[in-house]
Amino acid sequence: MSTPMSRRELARTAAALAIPAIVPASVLGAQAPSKRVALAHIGVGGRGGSLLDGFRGLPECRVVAVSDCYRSRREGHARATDAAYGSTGCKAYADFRDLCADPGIDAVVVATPDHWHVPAALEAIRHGKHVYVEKPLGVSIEQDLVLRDAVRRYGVVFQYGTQQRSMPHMRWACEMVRSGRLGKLRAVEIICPANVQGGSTTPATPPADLDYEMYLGPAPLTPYTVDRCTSLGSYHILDFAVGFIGGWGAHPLDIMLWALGDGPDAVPVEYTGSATWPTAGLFDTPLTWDVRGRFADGKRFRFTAPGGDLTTFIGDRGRIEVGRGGFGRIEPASLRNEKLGPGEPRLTVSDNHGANFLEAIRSGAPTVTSADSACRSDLVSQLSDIALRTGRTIRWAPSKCAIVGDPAAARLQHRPMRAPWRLK
Amino acid sequence: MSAPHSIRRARLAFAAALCVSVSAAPGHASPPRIPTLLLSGSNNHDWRTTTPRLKALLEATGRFTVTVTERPGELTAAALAPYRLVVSNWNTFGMGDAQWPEAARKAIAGFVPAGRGWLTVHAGGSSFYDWPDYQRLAAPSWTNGVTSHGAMHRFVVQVADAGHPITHGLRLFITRDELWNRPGVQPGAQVLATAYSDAAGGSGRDEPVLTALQIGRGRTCGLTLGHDVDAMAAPGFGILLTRAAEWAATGAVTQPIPRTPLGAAEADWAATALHTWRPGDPNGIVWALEHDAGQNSGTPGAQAAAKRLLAVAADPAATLDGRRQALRLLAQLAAPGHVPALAALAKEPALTADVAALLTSVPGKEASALRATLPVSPPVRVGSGAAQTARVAAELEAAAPAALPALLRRGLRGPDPARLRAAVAYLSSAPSGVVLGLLPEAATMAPSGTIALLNAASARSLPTPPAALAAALASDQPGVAAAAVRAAACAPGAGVARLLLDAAKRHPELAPAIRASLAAAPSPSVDDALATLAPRYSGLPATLAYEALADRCGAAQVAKLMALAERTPDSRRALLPWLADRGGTAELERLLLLHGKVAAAERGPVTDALTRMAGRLRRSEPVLRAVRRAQGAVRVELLPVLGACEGRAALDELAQAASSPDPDTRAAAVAALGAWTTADPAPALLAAARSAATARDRTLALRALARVAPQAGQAHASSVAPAVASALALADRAETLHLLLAALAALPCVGTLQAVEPYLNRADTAADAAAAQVASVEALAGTPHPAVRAAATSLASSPDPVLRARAAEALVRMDLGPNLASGARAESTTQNVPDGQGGGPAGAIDGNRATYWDETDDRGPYGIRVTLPAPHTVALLRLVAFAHHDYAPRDFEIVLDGKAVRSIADAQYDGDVLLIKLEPTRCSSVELRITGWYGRSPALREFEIYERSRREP
Repeated sequence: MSTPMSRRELARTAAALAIPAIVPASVLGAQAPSKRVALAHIGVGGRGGSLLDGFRGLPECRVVAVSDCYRSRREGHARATDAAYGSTGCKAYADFRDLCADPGIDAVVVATPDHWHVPAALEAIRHGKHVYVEKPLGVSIEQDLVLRDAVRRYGVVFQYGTQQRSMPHMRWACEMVRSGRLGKLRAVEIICPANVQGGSTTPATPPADLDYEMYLGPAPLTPYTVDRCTSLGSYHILDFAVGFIGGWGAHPLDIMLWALGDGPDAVPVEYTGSATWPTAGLFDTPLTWDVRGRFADGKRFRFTAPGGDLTTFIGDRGRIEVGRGGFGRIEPASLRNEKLGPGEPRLTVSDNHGANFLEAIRSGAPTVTSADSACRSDLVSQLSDIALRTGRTIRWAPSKCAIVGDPAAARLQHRPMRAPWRLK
Repeated sequence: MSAPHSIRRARLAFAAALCVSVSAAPGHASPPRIPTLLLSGSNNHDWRTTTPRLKALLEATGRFTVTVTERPGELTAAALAPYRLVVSNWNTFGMGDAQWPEAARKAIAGFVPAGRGWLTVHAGGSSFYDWPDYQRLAAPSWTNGVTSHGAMHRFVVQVADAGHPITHGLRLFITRDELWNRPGVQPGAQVLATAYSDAAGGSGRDEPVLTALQIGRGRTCGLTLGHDVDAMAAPGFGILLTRAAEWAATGAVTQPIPRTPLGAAEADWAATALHTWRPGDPNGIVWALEHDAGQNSGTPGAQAAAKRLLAVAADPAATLDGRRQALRLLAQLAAPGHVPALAALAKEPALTADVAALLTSVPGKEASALRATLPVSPPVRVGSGAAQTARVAAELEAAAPAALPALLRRGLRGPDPARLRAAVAYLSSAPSGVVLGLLPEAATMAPSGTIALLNAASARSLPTPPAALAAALASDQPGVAAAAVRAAACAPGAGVARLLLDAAKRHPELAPAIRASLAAAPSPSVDDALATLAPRYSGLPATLAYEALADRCGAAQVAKLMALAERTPDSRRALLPWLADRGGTAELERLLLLHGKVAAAERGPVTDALTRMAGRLRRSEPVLRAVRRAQGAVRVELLPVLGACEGRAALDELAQAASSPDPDTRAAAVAALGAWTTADPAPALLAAARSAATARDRTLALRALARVAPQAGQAHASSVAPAVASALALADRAETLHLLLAALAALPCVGTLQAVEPYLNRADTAADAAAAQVASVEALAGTPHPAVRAAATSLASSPDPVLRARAAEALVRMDLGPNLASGARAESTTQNVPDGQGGGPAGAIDGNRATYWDETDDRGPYGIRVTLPAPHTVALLRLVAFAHHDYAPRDFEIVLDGKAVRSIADAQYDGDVLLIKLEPTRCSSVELRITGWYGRSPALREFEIYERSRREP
């Protein structure tokens, strides 16, 4: 039933997504104002707003500017930021390009709809800003690769907004897999929630509050409808996203990458699948799917929806199921008491995803999720989606960073952008 | 030489044949064919043409051997025995079902549950509407009065279950067939493929065309497609038919999925539909054309597919949405040859952006030349510092391997910020050899260069030389020491231990990282170094050394760490918690000796460790000996340790100590008894309370009694409750009375009911006493006793509404006997999705009103079935709905063992409760078939089933 309880459930999910806002100042030492990172936010809707709240609670940074194509959002958040700091001066930019050109900004948080992630982050990186980019990374393989190269080339700090690497139980699970506690890995299985069907297709006048042209940006120019610029719209319309196969898949896939060592061999090389598709309505990304493939070393890969948020590692000596809510099955049960011994490699410890980003800017230590790893986990989503849309078996060559043996499918690595927007 | 040669070749061929026949056994090369019986000979469709077509389709896969029978009425169990699969293209439609022979009925009913398969095609299940077992086989079946169909027409069939073996790897196909609206789908069946039935002349919803159902050990599938031979010619029909047939027979599908582009007629039909397509229309044809583009791209079919889409895009009479979709779909297909046509389209302002977007996917110079004439973006602005960084980065990327170290060194030493930034960024992808070569100089770099080098070392587990590490650890620059501590986790040699312990003195804020690096340091000699060094330090470094040592040690080193722990207060603080969780009896004895030796101020950690160890080992003899040996404060401190051991001997000793002349001993003994994990000390504590010398002693003993007594649980309540009841008389403070009454609430028995009686009328105790009574009444409701009923009746008129409700509920239990639904199994009888909040069908029979059965709104009809563990007489149903006349069943049928016995219309609830009396009937399942409901779906908090409908005399 759609009683208020279902909405409470939603609120709980939203709360779980938000990063913890409080880090004891004693952990990091007192912050002189001049040493704080000057932070700006591009996109301050639902997710962007909660990120802004989180960063505002961290003493190592000072939020100095926001940008959004909804006037009420950018001005409201700028006012709220001033109120929180008890001062004035938080700027509200209508155009994120002006924000990126502002020399008083050190780092930028990108929490726009997905189709803007890479263009907005690129603009910031090319101005020498450090970037925190929400998941999923991009809406095409080409976008992922261009962003990764730009981070490398401009030497900025990059953090990927998947949060789950800052959860201790995730780190434990990945350390167990990396240390060989499961023996030789036979398969990795990913489950995430499904997309939804629906959305009004009746053209309507965009609200006066919204710069619709800017919201669309590189996406095709399409008539506005009341469901188009909502969070559901930004998750499930192909113009703006690839759907939850990337939007939520990013979370468990990120954990897969972490456990498999973040390298090129952590990306499966073959993908085949089936999906169900919305039969009507505005949302046009696959509803449910079952993608099966394999890694270069022969272990199996499977990526399905619907379900919870779960990454399963199956080795010849055991299995671990881990999701954001905790552990699923762990076999053998004694594995739960394992810990790393002397000399075994450990993973980076982060308890707060935002603080980890700021710490990396200040100390030069790597963030818990590198741009290479973010790029690779997003590739898995993109390749799965291409397999579903073409109905073909897709083969990926890590050495060439390209789909091979199928020039026609390889064309889908690229997504057209509406002029004047472009990647290079 | 030719003869031996050919012999060898023949041998090889023979060996190869042998290999094939061996490897065929597990079923991957050519599994054995499935013996299949095809039922035919009667059908309200043209079985004379469709039966041979079905046989041909099945046999063409090489997986089936098909035998056709035209006299299914003569089937017997013996006649069916050779077959693994039955395919039905047969029905008795319009011929009357009465003469169907009993032998055939039995043979068919038993065929699938025994582990074999059944597949019905189109009207192949339209027989025996009043025979439920047959209808299960026939799903999805024609349901008289509900199912309908329009004329033959083209439609898109889409996969509805992406992971099922039959449909995995398929997406969709277009067919021209008869589409059934609202066929009957059997409970438990999975819908694997659907087609949208157009609102004009159809049902306006997605209709199932293929379902699968597990029955016993076997499986059935139902395919509503296949009206005639033309419909059976669609490639998609053949794929679904043969895959469903194989799955029904074997539970797996081995047939490969062929490429499935649309046929020319189907693609033309879809392209025609795209001419008028608007975003509100069904998406099926867009998906069909996308699938067709994917299947055709890179093949000879691409040209025709592209031409079809270009024609739609170029048609000014088509809808703008349809034309733009066509341009989007062309991304996989368009070739350089299409550029002139696209150039013409780009002149239309409404399409310019879409053509420009498409051109980025078209290979060749022509496409980029045309795109260059269309609007382009302004140059991207690049910040000046960043441009410098980018230049150095490019230099580094282009550098020869030999030049890299010098270039990097120049960047990392600073002070040029752009160079430094580029070098730091490059380090994350630099070859490990280069990083290793620079590590000895790590401490000579600019601070962020040092940090980056050390981070690169820890990220790749490279050993940092001790000298560089020592210099970095001594740095006062922020972040440098932290990076050095991380890098130390993979530094070689035992020297790293001393470096890190010294660093702890200088950087106490890094203590957790230092401990982690000490624990991870690879050299085995670090263990000895830590053991030697630890006693030479004091305070934080000493603690870290001991803690890291404990982190590194396993259970085998318990004795070694025990010896260390005996040495100094620092070592005890750090190591005793570790030992407490691992030590054995030997360590327990050594700790007891140690406890007697150390000064009072240092005994705290020892006592804590002893208590934890004793609680784990439960060995009371050594502790008892130590207690008897000890005097004064030492003895007092050992009493909780003894208590943690529990057991008879400890209990006796402590009971005695509870009446000691020394007040500290008495208090410690009572506290130790109060920490027990069972109710065993209850008599001893009552005795202590009785003989207490002071009011304080008495209160402490009574409190302890109130704590341990509830641990008896309901099973032993009647043996412990009297002690608590006697204690009530000793209590002289309101707070103590409150605790004792609360303890009685956890000890439900008749004794409790009587013991609390006098306290019901005292203003200060009435609430606690009533709570204790109602808890007993609820627990004892199943075993009626005159005292229980009397208490419940009196509570039912209590002024407290919660007590009143609980007592009334208990009275219902007493009147109606046990709820038969508890311990039963509940399931949904429809395929509605459970509501995420509810807790599934089991939520309705778990006795907990907070959980409930509920399914997706507006998807009726709904149904729930409760299957009892054994047949039982049922005379009353008691439904507790989600809320009064909101989300509650309104119109429903009550079905016992599959037979409808009562139908309720417009149910009127009393509060949330509806009582339904039934003619007492013996049955093993009770089902509600709900056709009407209050709110948007019927939700049940409790579905209770009773043997009798009122109090028995």
